[in-house]
Amino acid sequence: MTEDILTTFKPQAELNDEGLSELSQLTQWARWNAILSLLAMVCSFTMNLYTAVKFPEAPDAIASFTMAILSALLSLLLNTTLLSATGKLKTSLEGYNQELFNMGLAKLTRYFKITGILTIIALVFIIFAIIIGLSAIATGQ
Amino acid sequence: MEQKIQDSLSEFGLKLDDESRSSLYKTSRWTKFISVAVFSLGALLFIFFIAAKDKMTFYLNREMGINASNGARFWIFFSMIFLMIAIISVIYYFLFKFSANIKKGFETEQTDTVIEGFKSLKIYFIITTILSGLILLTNLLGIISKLIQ
Repeated sequence: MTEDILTTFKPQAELNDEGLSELSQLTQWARWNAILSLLAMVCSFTMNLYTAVKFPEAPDAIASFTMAILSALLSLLLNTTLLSATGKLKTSLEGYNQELFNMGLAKLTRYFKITGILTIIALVFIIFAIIIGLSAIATGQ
Repeated sequence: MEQKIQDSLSEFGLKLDDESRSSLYKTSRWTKFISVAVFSLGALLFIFFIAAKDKMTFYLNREMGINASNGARFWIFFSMIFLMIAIISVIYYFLFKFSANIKKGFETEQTDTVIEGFKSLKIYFIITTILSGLILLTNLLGIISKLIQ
């Protein structure tokens, strides 16, 4: 089915000015997204590190610091992938480089693939939490 | 002269060739999955909050002193939760629209529909960028307040 759709889209559709403009704007916004998210991650990590160093005796200090490291690593993986994708797309759009354009789109696919996998993991945890919550309500605890 | 430049651009123009179409198609499948998963999760959370309203009111009252009798604070809390679910749904609607347009564009062989898909993805990135900026601002304020303490 996938193959059918891909091969029946016969024209090697050339991106017109509107398409290039949309892609260029999309790339810029995605780039800003990655940069701001990375900065937010650095700030959040600094804040958690500061809290863990200043209040090491706090009961949840280790747990929150571990979570901070984990979320920082995930954010780093996601946003560097997006940054790499947008970098390639930006250069390809400026220089009309087809090879780089394809590499940029492949990186964008990887970015959404990672997001998708993280969504599956988050789904499992949240559904588990909802089940626990509902069972607590049902048993009246 | 202008025509010549246009021809020159076309000659070196970017194309949606097999490789780029394959990447876009894979991206659209993942974005469809992500958006559907988020919609389902939003619906689940909505049902959960409705089902657990009494229990949550009890905990809010016990932990934060918020209950139905102090009106505004109680409703603001629940409204904020529903507003967040609504904002997230809007964001992922655009991701879903991107996915649908890319698939439709490939099926109907229309570049315009594919471009509509790019527009939707752009809006998705605009909204998420604004939210990332707000999160960054909140974190910066948090750091400043900790340094002042």
